[in-house]
Amino acid sequence: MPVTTPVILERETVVPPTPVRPKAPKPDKPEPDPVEETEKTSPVTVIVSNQSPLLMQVAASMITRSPDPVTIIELEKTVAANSSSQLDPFDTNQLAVALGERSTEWLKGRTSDFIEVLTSAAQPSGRHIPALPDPAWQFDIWSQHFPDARRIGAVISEAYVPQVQALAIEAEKTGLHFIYRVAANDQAAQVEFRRLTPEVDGLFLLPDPAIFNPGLITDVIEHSHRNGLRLLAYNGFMQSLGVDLVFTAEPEDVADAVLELINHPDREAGRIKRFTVTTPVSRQSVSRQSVSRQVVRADE
Amino acid sequence: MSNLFEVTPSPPRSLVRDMLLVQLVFAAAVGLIALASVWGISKWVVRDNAERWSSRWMAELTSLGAGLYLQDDATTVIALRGYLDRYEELLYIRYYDPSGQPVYVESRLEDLPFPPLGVRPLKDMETLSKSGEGAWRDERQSPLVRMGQALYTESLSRKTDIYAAQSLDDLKTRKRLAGYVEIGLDYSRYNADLAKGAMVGSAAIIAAFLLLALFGGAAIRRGLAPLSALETPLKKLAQGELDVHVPVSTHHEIETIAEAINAAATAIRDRDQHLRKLASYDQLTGLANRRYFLERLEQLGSQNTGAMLFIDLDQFKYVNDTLGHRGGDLILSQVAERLRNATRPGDLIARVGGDEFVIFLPNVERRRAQQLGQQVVNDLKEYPLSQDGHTFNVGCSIGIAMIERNNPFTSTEIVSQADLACRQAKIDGRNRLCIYELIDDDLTQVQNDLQWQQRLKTALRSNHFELHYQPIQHVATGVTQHFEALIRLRDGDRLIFPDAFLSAARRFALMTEIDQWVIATAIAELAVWRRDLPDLKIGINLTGSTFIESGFSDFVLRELDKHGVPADSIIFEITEQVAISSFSDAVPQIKALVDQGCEFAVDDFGTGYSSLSYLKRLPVRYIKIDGVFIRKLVESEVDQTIVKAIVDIARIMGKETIAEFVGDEATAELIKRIGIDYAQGFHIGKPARDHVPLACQAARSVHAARTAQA
Repeated sequence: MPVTTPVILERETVVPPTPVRPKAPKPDKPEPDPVEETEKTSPVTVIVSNQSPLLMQVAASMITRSPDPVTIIELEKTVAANSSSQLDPFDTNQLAVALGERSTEWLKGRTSDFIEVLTSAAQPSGRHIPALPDPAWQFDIWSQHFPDARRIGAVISEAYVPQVQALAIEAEKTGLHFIYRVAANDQAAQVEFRRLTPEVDGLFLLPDPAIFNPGLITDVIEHSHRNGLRLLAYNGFMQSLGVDLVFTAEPEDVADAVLELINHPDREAGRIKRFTVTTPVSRQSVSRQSVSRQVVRADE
Repeated sequence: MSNLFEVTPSPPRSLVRDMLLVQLVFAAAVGLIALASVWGISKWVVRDNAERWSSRWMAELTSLGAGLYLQDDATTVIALRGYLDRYEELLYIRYYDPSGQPVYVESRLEDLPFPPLGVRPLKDMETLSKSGEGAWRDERQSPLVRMGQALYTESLSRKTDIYAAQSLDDLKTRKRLAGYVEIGLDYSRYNADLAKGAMVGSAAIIAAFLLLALFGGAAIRRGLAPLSALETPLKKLAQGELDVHVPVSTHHEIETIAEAINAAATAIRDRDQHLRKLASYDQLTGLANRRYFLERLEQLGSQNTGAMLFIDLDQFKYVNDTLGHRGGDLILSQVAERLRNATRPGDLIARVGGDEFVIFLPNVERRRAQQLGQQVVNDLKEYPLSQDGHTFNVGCSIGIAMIERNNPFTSTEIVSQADLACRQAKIDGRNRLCIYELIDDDLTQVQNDLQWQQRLKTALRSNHFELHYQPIQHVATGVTQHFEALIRLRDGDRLIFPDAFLSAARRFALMTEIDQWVIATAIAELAVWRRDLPDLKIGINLTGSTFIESGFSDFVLRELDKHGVPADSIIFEITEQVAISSFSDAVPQIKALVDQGCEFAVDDFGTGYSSLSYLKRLPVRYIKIDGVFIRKLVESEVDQTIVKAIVDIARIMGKETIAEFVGDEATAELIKRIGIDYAQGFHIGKPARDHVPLACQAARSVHAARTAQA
């Protein structure tokens, strides 16, 4: 079994790669909230995969925005740089931040106290930055765009039931009706999506890794289009597939949320303050990548 | 015993039937191909359809059953039951866990066992599903077909950053074996559907081809009807009915054929008429010939009465000598015209010889026959005939034989009676008529003739004739290599000479057969003798009737070829009268045989026409001087002068001479002095059977002696 040794990159030497996706204009983006001065904290170690430009941007933003030293452990370089070394570059005394699933997996074997950022886990092990915006905010945005789509559905695995129940409760408050089905796997999910079709006006494509796979995503999108269902998703590339409403967070906003959580350790969880809302002009124009974007504060 | 190699000709086939057969065979072949296609395509379609449905069911059941592996999903159970209800072909649906243990079964069969999945199907399903080759199939329990497929779930890899993904490709997944699904299909339903569909299709195709065959057959019959209509007229034509007419068809192809057949029938009819005329009529005068005349008389039968007139022109030789044969022929034509004018419609006239005519006057009495006969005599005598500036009073002698009812004589015999009467008229002074009076002697003679007729026929049939050979000696050398074949009739120990039977043979038209027998026998015997006497030559006498037969030369050459005898071993002897009276027919025959090597001799020269002009033109090698001049040659200076003249003329013409009837040494000496080339007569040798065999024996002895000496 290969032994991986993370490489510690000094702050000044970290240059985040140029984002693949051009940065979307954020006309009304306010200045980030000033981080409240607290007593001096320990240096932060950020674990990140260089396979994800978005996460690398988050890491870079943390370096530029954090008053404390931030050490970046780039997962993929550990093997290449020091494959024969038995030394583990991770210092368990430092506060660790796992950016993404791979980093979380990597850290789970080393410490139980770390901050999970943008995890898709249904039940994060500790402090974490949820990827999903506040439910009330989501339904508000949904209602603004699709006032006639009052019945919303979702298919999730068993592990996601608590989260979805929270969504359902919040939906009722805003006058919407949220229905969910539990599927054991992708095959069952496909069936459940079809069963939901006559009961809902739109679907939330919650990023449940237990049931989601590329085939199911494209199938559900095509099926929804055929049946006139509105779709909501949380990944930027989904807009090109024909999802009507996409909520994504900018790297800087994610970094701010992480820093806020670091500075307020008593808080159970941080929230990303701003989300970019992307909607296609029309479903017919999806293939041309013609999108209309707006950035909306999630906590407004 | 019949010839094993003989092939019995099969009856001709029907064109219509053949075409119908071809059409039926073609229709049957196409029908079979169509039926096979229908069955094949139906089977393929049904099977393909079943497989498509099966694939679809497998895919749907894979999704439907996915819920079974996590929880007891009532919805899934209901869905599966509904699924089973919806598709009758599905007998059962079974789900297994990854180890092959039963998970769930939905079946329309009672007491369906649900054992764990076998290791082999389990592995096969997994292998096929992974490779994407489709579902596992088991058709061993046909019509039950089992199909199965491994169930996989696909979820995102734990290490996939779902929020950070920028495309579907960034979503790494992992597959996990969830279990297996198996369905049981009842293929008997498909097979029943296939059979039903194929039966309907086959019935339709068979019906279509039967209709096609039916209408095709009718169309062929209709199309070939004009051709079939030709069958009857053509059959009639083939059977000799020349009076057929093929109706003209509306089809231009058949019309052409019909017109051609009609034209051919007309041409054949004309040709037939022409041939009949050639065979039945004398070309010179247009009158019936002897054969046709006798045939007509035979057709009239013995119930007819009337008179037979035999007319022989008097001194017609003078006309021929004056005008030549061409002029003589023209005079004969005028005579024939006079005879036509003198007779009544219904009277039958024929030319039966050079200047001989016969007239049958039906239903006349003796007196009337005499009147008509006398009228002919007077007409020819009183009104001269003109040709080439010459005027002739051609008289005639007429013999009349009366024909009574139920007379016992044949037509030939009646003609002979009239002929005898005519000879009597000539003896009585010519230019007159004579009526044949039937007296007992004549009746006896006629009866004798009739006996001869039977006797000659029997002799020919039973080989009672034999040839005797008389030597002809080369005068200068005394060598005898030349014999004349003379016919004899063997009657027990007695030999009958030809004078006794040849006249009867002529009357009953047996001469040709007798001559052919002589030729064939002489050549056969010559072939044997030539082994010892290679230079032996045989002279064969020919009568006129044989000589002018069209196939005579062919017959001779065939016989020579058959026995391997060279043509130059044969010398044909024809009388001067025969050669000259049938000059135009004789010369080609002589030339044809001379060209092949045969030699010719003019027999009895000096007693007939003795025409030097003809002699010059006849391609003969020998001139046999008639015995009349030889018998008394020693005593008669006249005969000596005549013979000398003949010899001189022959020499000038390049011909050799033969003296007949050399009866003593003095005559032999004299002819030697005169310069005659060959001598024949009792002094040289009598005709005998054993002359040549003895000569052969002598030759063999000499040869043996020489061989012994050598």
